[in-house]
Amino acid sequence: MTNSEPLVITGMGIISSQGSDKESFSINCLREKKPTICSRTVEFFDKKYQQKIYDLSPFEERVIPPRMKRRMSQMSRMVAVCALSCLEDAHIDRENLDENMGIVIGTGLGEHHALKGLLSQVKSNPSFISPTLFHNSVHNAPASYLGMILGIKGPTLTVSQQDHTFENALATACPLITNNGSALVLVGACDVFFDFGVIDKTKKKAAVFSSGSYFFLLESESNARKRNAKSRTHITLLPSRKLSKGETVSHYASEIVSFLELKSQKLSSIDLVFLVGISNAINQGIIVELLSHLFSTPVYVQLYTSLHSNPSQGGEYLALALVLLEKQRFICENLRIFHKDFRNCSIPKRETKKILFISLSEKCLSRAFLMEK
Amino acid sequence: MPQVVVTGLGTYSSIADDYESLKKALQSGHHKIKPVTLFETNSVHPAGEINKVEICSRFPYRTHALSLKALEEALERSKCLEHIAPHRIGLCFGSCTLGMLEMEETLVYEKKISGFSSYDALEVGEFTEQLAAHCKIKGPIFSFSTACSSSSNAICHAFFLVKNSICDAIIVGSADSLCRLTYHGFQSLKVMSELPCQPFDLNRTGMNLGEGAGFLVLESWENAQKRGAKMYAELIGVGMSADAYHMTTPDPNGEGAYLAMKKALDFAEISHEEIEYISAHGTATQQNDRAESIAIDRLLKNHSKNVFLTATKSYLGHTLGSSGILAAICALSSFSTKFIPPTLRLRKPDPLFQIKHPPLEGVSFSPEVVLINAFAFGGNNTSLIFRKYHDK
Repeated sequence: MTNSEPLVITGMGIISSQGSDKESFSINCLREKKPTICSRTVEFFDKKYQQKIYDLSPFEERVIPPRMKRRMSQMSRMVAVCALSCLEDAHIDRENLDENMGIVIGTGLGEHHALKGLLSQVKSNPSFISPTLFHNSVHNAPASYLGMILGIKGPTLTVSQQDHTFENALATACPLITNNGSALVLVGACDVFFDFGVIDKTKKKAAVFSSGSYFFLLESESNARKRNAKSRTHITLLPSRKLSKGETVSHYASEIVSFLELKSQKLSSIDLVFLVGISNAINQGIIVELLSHLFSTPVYVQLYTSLHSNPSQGGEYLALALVLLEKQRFICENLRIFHKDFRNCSIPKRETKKILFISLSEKCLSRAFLMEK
Repeated sequence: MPQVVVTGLGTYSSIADDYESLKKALQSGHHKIKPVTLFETNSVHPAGEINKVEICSRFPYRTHALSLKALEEALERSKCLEHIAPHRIGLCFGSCTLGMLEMEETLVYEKKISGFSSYDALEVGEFTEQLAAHCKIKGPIFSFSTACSSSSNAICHAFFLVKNSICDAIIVGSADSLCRLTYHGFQSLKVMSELPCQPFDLNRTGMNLGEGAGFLVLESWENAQKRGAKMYAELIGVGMSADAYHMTTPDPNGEGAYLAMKKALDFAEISHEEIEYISAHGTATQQNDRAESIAIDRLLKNHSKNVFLTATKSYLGHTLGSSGILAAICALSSFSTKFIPPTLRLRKPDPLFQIKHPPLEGVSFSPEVVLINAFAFGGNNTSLIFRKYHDK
């Protein structure tokens, strides 16, 4: 694998409140109306939005050894089930896995259910802390259990970056293939519902997140070709940086253009901008400025914000972008045509083959990927 | 691909406030593994605790305060912020305890800490963003939480970011503070010693906890050369592996540890005979030291008896996520001091293994190539190889 060889995604696994498999996920995502711009307060995360996922059967019974399952948290089990369904989707034979396969998992808050239990033991009787609860409390417990189930000995990493948790996991996974000799990397994200009010009585309203896990199999194009795997998309990591209005945005736009030129890509060939993370007016202003610098001709923009928010939601965004590429369907209510001069215009319909995926974090960090069918 | 050099380093631990004092502490065999005073406990297990940490009121976490001190020193030495555009500098940070100490104090002991948030206290990404904002950098940021190998994995990723020219420089670091949860948690695993630890000793009785922070600035050689930066070392190889064996017990054959070291050697494109010094993970538990020794003997073969090995946890205690980067900074100090510090209290080396331990007073030796190990829960192993930098 050379540093410049393209990377592809060849498998996808989903367990989310939007659906517990690919099909139901795509049906639900494309059916629902999504808010385009949404400023979220703590009140937004009211109980009615909470999504817990309890039932992982029957897949769970099939993929997790019973002795191990007894010790695993719900999060670790969800990760295992989702990752293994991703491998099945990619037609990977578990019995003949490459030992150097990598695992990169993003989690915003990790195993806070275990931490909650440990904190109460610290208070009541610190001499009798549960050793299982203790080792299950580390962020990398789910990745380690998954590594043990699969019996792989490659890099097993866990990353976390607030609302860019999944995006950073994907960015961390790429050099494991290009620089580290892993032929395959399972990259995913997981967070589980947790009511902060349980541990923090000072909080007037508890922040409630949804549960969900998303996994993708990343490999080099040549490896995918070698094993006759169907590539869902090429994926190219674009420059990332913190943005503020004005000069930084124009610099960033030039950086993206130069980077694409190096890869022999042109912005004019992009069919759709998939835009996520536009959570406030500042982000909105910045993204309009960025698009103005990038596109001189009109371009379709699909806006998307998950209703079932959690720090790993970037996985949901990528999964949806893959669904759009595959099914050529869009969430019409939030599909816009962007033109820098704000003129009314139309664009002739064409097949969406290339997506520019831009995720802007609440603090204006931009992560971008180019996806190509 | 660009060469990756170290142009800045900073450290803060129980034995030293900065890099210069760390060098002195290692040369004098100084340690502060003592009874814990940070919180009340009936346990007798000593730890490497830092006295009088200055907490920042805006982001009131001990882990953050430790980070800031080590970060400031690394930036001061590197001067990267003055010479490199902010968007060309990234930050990789690794940690595992985060704001757990404050979490315990507010939520278990109902102490009021201004600015505390239970969400922030659990979010390594928030800690990283606070540090990036402090540095005013605008490049990519990454946060790693892989327990005791967190900082070493952060270094691996930082290495790739510079190698792939995604950034000109990466500030990479880690911090972890003592807290009740890890202190009692490791006791529950029955791996803590009631005495200052004795890594690799035949009569070792377990580990001590510690706390601390370490930061490095990794930079492309071209960039460092152009701006006339001091280069402390070159990072030439990294290797990551998993045991796929058990959540807390290392593979008794040291297979995962061997793989990580072997991959780092392969990455560096050097022979095992070029390794002259190893800064071991060396927790002083029976299982870890045995597995690590087997792996090192397997890697180095007969050359094992020529290679010095130090376990820095005999000075610092086990500083969890930051143990890898602190071990690296200790090892890099040997490039300038030309001194290999001993593993403290190692009186009777386990005779099963060939590794060469420095005498208890240390030894004058100037290594060219050093290997640093960090292993973690879940059998997560990371090895780094640095080479002494010679002006070209």
